[in-house]
Amino acid sequence: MRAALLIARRELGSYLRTMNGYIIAAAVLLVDGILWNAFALGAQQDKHSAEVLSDFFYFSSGTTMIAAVFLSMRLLAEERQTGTLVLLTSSPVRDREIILGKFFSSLAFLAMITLATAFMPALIMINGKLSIGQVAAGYLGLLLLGSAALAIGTLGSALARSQVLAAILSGAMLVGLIVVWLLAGVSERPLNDVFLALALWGRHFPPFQAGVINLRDVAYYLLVTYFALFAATRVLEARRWQ
Amino acid sequence: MAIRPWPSLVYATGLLLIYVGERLLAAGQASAVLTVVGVAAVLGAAAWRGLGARKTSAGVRSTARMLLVLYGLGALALMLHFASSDFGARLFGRPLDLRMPRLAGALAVLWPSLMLAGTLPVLLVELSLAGMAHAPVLDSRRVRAAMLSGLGTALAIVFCFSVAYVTAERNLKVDLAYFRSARAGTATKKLVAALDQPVQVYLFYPPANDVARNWLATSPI
Repeated sequence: MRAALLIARRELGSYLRTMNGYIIAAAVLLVDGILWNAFALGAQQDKHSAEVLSDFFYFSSGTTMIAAVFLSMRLLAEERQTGTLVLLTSSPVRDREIILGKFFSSLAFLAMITLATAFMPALIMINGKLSIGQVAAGYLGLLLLGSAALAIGTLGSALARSQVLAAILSGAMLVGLIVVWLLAGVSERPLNDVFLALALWGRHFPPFQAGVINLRDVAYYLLVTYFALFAATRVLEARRWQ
Repeated sequence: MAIRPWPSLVYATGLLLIYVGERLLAAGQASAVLTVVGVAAVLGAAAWRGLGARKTSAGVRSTARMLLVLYGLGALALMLHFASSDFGARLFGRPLDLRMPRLAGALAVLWPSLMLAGTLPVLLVELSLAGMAHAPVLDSRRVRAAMLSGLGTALAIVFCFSVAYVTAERNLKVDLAYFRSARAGTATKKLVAALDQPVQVYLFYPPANDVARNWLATSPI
């Protein structure tokens, strides 16, 4: 675990020392701000505070997933592209520690970006009433969704040979997991149950928006994170038998 | 190296035919034909793999045996599926979920798990073998690592679905939003319905309250 934390610290440093991390953070905060002003606050005067907050989390969930794809695309694909993956895998570090270290670094950076948006819900206090519970639930949902999206991105980065391909692959997997919600409506049992259980956003995120925390939703995001990281480790290990 | 991917391809085609026959087509002659051909393909693939590895080196034979065991897992999964399907109902007289509902429930979970544990490792073993297509000697440790990787992934999928199912069934809910309109419970509704006098309700809210505005907007009164 110490090796994983060492890798995480080094990777987090690379986000903070280079422009890439700041560009992604600035882009996410800019888009979040525009969506907040244009849609969450909107022109509608008689909007409840809870609706504004719910809309904020609705839009932030999209930007969080996109940020997760951009943050994770470089994790392993960049190492492979620059030829440093061999150095990393031949060092006395387990494959799962490499994956965990890289994942934790991007999760920490994503958490920083997500928490940097906290001033937007705080603005509600000027003309409305802020429910701290709903804010906490919404941010918990964003972090869990971001964690799942980052883990999927890490898997995409482990599979791809270049960063662009990693982003495309991760984006495709994320979109697939989101639109599977629509497939549930047109398929029969037991497949529709499987599709419903797999849907990344449609079933599991809206309760967080409304301030409701369900054990099933928390477990779902943790399981997606676990499985994607497990699969990424298996992909990295595959060099031994491929 | 004398281990070929064709039996695995026949095995996969057989499973696909069974899926189409059982799930995509309506019950009828076409569905039955596809299912029977699919089962024959699965059994044929196992026989082909077993017979093909008889006069080969020890390494190839152990790999073929490993694949044979995985095909066997798939075939066992199919047997369990058929036992709990319409075919089983025709064979035993009554549907299994009516005769033994707990067993039917267990089989509904067991057969997809076995199918996954029998199919995913085959895919990874074949990928590993494809990587050694031109190697003079088969490295059985690489094949074994691929098989274990596939098996581990299959078990991880089963674990994830199991935990997701249990947490969905035993869900705990915490509502942290202050903004929510309280709803009367069943007992309260029954009590009010049994009253023969009109009920007067007094609600006290501070001015410009979200809950009050929502209540006024949605209340039928």
